Amino acid sequence: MNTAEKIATNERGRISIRNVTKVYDPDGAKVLAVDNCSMEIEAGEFCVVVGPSGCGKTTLLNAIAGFHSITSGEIHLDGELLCSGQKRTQPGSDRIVVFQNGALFPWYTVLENVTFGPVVQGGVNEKDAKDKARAMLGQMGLEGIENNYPSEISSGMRRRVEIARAMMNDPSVLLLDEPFRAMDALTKTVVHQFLLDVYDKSKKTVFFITHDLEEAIFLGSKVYIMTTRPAQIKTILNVDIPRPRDFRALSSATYIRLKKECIEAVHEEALKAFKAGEREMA
Amino acid sequence: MTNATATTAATPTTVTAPAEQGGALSSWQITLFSLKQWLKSPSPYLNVLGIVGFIVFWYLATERFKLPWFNKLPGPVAVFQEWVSRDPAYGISIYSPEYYHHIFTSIWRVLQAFILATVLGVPIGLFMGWKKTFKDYTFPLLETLRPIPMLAWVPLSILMWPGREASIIFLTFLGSFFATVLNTLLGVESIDEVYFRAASSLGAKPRQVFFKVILPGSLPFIFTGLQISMGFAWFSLVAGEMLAGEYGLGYLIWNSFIMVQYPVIVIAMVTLGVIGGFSSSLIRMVGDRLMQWKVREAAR
Repeated sequence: MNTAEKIATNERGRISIRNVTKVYDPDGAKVLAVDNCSMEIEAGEFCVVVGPSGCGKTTLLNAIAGFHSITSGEIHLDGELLCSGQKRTQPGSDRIVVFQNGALFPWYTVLENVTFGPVVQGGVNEKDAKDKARAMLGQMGLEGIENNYPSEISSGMRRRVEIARAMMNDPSVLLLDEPFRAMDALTKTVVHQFLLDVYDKSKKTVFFITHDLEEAIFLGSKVYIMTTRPAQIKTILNVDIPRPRDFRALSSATYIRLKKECIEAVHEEALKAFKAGEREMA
Repeated sequence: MTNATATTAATPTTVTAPAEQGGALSSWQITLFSLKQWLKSPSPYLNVLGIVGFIVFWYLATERFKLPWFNKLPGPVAVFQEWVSRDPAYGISIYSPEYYHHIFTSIWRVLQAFILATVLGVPIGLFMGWKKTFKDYTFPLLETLRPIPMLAWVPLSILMWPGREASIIFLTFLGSFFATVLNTLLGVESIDEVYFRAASSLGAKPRQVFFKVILPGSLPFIFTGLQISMGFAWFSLVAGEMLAGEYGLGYLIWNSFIMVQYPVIVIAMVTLGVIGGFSSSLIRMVGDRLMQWKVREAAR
């Protein structure tokens, strides 16, 4: 982290994951999804968690978001206990999730979606919320679609609106669960750049889950590579590509070196996951 | 003839849907566009052809060739002549006030029953979908009562209510009510879990989730349910009127059968069909009005 970045860093959004274990027990068959996993995420860090499919990344995110409980361990946000084996804090606007397949409400227009957070939380009148939303959409290059419904705009546009909807609440953490998974390569470059710009401007803590290594390195400040289920942190890569980043970073020597390291680490895990899968099938 | 079928039926030429030209459109523009596309497609002409074909067959089978099974039925010419006659042989035509009295009696009964069923059924369905405990109490009961045919309710409903009017409305209500509750419940259950999560993540409290997620999210199913329930309402109404009525189209049909006034039966049947179809499209129009997001999705 260079000095400029440090100064801009918001002091909110420090996440501390300590010895978290999650056991799923739907029908007596205990499945260990996360095993004694610890992470320290600094305020303002762009943290990317990479791992093979079904390794328990989303379990971790859901625990931070408050959708799931954990079996043991503790998760703290800015020193406050968010959840432990006994406690679960309900979801709230300090930790906003952007979902895998998108969750803009189809029955609300873009503007109504973006103002949803402030309106339900109360304390602002609808007009102020709308003005703020328009300003935010404008800043993010999303003007002219505010009265459209989500079904009328492109998938890349929808994802950007969803990020805008999250940012409207000034969250401590932005939780992104493989948000660009189903997108084509071209759309992806656009939304990547968008997210990088949002991050550079806001310096929010970002907790980003993906299985796409290139995306992980391009976006993240730190890449946490997870093992196959049960999930643990296998390796942490510090991504020292300077910000602001753009597509040129993708051809830098650092990027290529990191990608190589990353592939090696992940490949091992992928093979393990694959073999485990074969055993289960057999 | 919904907007959806209109769009899919449109030939795949290079037509730009107005929604693609950017900007938000009024619902009126979308309706107009869909209508134009529909008129360009073969559907409306095939629709008309289907109806004409049926009438021709009916004519040939009854009045022309007097086929067995058909020879006792009134033919289309006889029915039409009676229907538009200034001096109808059996007293029912578009000129007789009696005819409208039957129609309005039926409409009024259906309207009361349907409104009651909607006002009670939609909230109950929503509540069942929202609170699991409430569903646990009520769902098995609903699923046992729902399959009972409306005719089976006739004796109890006569015993239960003071006059025939109330018992007919009760029967009509029952038919309508179960369909509304069930479809509303299905509507709530059709909402993707992700919207509940998104809402709570954005800070919505349970009451807000109810009004901002559950209610709008289940509207498409609710309106499908209301169309079905309107159908059931007419169905049960006619059953009720045949057994206990004094006026109304169901009564008219049964009475004309007993009085051997066969053309009147068909007049009342066609009237029921037209009014039933009209009431259904009225519900669809209200639904489209409330669900612009669905309409625009279909217009794409």
